[in-house]
Amino acid sequence: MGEAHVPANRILLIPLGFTIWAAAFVVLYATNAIGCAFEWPSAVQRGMLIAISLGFLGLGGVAWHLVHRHWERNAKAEVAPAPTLSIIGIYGLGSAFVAMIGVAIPVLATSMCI
Amino acid sequence: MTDLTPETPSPIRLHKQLERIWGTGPGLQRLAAVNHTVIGKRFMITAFVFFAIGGLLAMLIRAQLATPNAAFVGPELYNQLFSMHGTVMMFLFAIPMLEGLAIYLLPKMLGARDLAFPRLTAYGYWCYLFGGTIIVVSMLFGVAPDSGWFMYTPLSSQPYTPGINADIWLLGVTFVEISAVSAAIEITVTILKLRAPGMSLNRMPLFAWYMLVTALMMVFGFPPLILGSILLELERAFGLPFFDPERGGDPLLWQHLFWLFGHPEVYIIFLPAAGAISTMIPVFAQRKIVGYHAIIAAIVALAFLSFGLWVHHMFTVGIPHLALAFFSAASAIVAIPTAVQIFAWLATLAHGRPRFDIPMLYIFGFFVVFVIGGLTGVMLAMVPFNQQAHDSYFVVAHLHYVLVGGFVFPMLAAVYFWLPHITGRQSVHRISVPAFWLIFIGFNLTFFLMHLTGLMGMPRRIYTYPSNFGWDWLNLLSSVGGFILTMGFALFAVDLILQFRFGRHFRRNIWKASTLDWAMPTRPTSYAFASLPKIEERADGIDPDRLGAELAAGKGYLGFARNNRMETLAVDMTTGRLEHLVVLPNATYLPLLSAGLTGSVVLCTLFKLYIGAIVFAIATVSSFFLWSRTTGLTTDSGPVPVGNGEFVPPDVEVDGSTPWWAMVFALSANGTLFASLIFGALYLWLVAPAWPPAEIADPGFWLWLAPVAMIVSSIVARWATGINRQGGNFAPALFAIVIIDGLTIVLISLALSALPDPTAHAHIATVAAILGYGWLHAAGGFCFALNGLMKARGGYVSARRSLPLRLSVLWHDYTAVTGVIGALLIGAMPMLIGMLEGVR
Ligand code: HEM
Repeated sequence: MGEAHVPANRILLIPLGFTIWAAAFVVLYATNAIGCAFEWPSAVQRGMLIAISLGFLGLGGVAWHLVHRHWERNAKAEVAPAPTLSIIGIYGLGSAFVAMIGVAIPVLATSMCI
Repeated sequence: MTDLTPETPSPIRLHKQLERIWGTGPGLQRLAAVNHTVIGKRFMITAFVFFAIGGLLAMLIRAQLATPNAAFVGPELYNQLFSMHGTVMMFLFAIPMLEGLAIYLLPKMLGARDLAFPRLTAYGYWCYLFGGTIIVVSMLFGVAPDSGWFMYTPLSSQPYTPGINADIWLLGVTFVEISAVSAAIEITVTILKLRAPGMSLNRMPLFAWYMLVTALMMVFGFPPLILGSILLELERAFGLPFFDPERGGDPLLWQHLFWLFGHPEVYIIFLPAAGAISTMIPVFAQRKIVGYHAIIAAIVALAFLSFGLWVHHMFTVGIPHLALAFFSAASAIVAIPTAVQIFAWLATLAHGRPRFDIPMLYIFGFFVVFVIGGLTGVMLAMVPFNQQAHDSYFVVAHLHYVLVGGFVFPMLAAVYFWLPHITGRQSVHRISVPAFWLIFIGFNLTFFLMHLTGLMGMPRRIYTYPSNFGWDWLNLLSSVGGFILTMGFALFAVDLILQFRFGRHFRRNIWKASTLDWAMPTRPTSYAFASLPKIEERADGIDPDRLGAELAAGKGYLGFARNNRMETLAVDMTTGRLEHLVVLPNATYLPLLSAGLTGSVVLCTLFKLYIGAIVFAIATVSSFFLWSRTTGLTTDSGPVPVGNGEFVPPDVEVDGSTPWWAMVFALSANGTLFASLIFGALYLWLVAPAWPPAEIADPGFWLWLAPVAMIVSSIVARWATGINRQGGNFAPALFAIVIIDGLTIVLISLALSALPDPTAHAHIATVAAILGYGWLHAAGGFCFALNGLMKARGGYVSARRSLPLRLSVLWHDYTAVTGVIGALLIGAMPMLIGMLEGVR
């Protein structure tokens, strides 16, 4: 067998996109809960939530860009399963990005609290 | 161990030698079985027995609801019937059934001889059997759980359910859940490490991907419920008011904890079934699956999204509007990765040359029923519709369309597909087809009509109804459908018995499948493969007929029996490069003993015999010491031959061995439980009524000493490993850990005793729970250090063989991190409570 090595932590590329999604989801939900409990003014809360959404979308976008660039430059030539992990990682980042938009859209218009 | 590769004997001799090592003995020795084929079958058969019990309960429910104002059963019994039906189906049928299938199939599909921890498999089975029996037997005594399968508080709290009905659920289900989490850890490690050499991740069959994701979901999804059940039992037994709104608790915390588990649970049930479908469809379409990568991405997406949906079960409880929107959006989005899989399956069929057989009939049933369930799911994801349909029969219809469509139909297909593998016989009787149509028609008649009764306003969980709402004939037809469905299942059972008894024997690979599970004799031998394959292509595209013959002739790896040891191989997680030899433990009664002791803890707790519970808990832990006593090697061996001219070290001499990874995943599950506890404490602070509390929990000076001791203990554990690596005497360091951990236990006990009465307010109760968590972990650290000493005395530890010490490091690191977080939270609570002044 060859000595080529793909470190185990490369597997984390697979859940990377949706981990960012999950972090965004938790932070948005928690901020909303705290905002409502402490009766923050609606505009302040909305502003914060929009900023959080944009922050996470930016993070997701940057991660997608980095993984994609790595795949284009290196991974195609790397030993298996590195290319597969990158491809699935890119799919995951792309779909998590779309899912993040889906979850964040209500931030723009929906009323905040009960 | 010898340095020379043992010779491969003739196939018959090899078979006899391996059978002697791996086989399960006759008579009572069956109770000592640890073999995955045996235990997998036991799981599945037991699950089917529970399915029959759950089905019988469903029939009683339908008999009662067939006509208005019926007096067949009274309200009290009816409450037990539906609670037990839901509980049995979800916890005692669905989860164990998927575990059984995975336990039976995974080693065979991955090219290993067994799972990573055969004794754990057996322990899990016994826990399941005992826990399930406790729950079901309670029915015979008329004290079965009666607060619904999701046990909402305050209904399930002491004042409203004073009997032991709810305790049986909380303790019995927790017992079964512990078995499920241990199975999940075992499945995860097996998939990641025990594959055939050459099976890199990109060559893994889809079923293994599905099971990997499912098992990880179980690792992270079940702990919130385990925590919730412990907290509710503490409230019921000792009055700690986590869910009591008058004393700073909140019933909604239970709902959050339950559904944090409960929603992923639905996908945990669906994904293995989808894995079975992804395995069967290519066989009948006669082409490889379409969209291998897209399917993997879709199941990962599903896994994550399913954790972000739990509040859609709580849309009507009064939640901030925006939060409703988040969860509604996530609930709708989850349909997309599900659809990706459905389209991949359809595309595989469309691009292949589909041939028809009985499993395909059930797959057809799956498509129809599951897609309808998915669509009503999207309807229910919409908040306004949900608020109309909540707690109505529409929901009962939806949940059965997804559960029966997404699990029962695929499992029936899987039974027809893999039964020949298990029995070595093929079906000759044509009653499979009428059985299918009875099930399909019966199911749709029963449940489709429930959409209508639901939309007409019929609430779920009512024991009877008056006749003036227009629900009468719909309910009657629904009950008729239920009995047609039951006839279908009865016919199905007859078909199976006939196949077992009269089915024709066949040679290998009856369906012309292309996965490794068919590259072996059917019925499978106890050791699965006479020698292990080397994989050079994607493992769903191999030729089992050619490969099977070669492996039976001993031409693969480990084509010999050595030192009466159960040997299999482990690989590098990603590349599948051959990495080390795994020596598995032989058949033993220990799992039965440990499960019996664990069951005694549960029973004593149930009957409030707490001294007995403590004694049995100590006995259980001691029995685990017996497990560990003889595992490992007493001399350094270095690389040993494994066939094909290759040499690898044994598992005890490598860093990333299977027990180490199991510990990592066990701590991940544990960490989720801890995170849920922290979430609970903060949730109550933020939203529960009756805050701020009259008294602040201040454990005093001891609080800060405990995490310091934990950090010191973790540093000393690392130091012991360092000394060992250099060949020095590490025993004094281990003694030091024992003493420090003992001291930590005392410090936390002092902190606990410094608290005000924890029954007074949920704030004090949560602080006590966090301290209790630290106490248990310090005690665990104490046991790990003792285990290290015991192993060192037995000669099982050397500079190369350091696993017991490294496991202790992991545990102590984890304890220190959670100890610091817990102390910081407790320390910050007065400030956080201060922030509530003026707001609440
Ligand atoms: C064999 C055919 C089945 C029939 C005729 C049936 C019938 C029913 C009925 C009528 C109810 C509503 C009881 C009520 O709200 O008063 C119910 C509830 C339920 N069923 Fe089934 N069922 C069947 C199979 C299954 C299966 C296979 C599963 C899961 C894998 C399942 C899981 C549940 C759950 C979780 C509930 C909710 C229990 C509760 O409200 O606490 N059922 N079933």
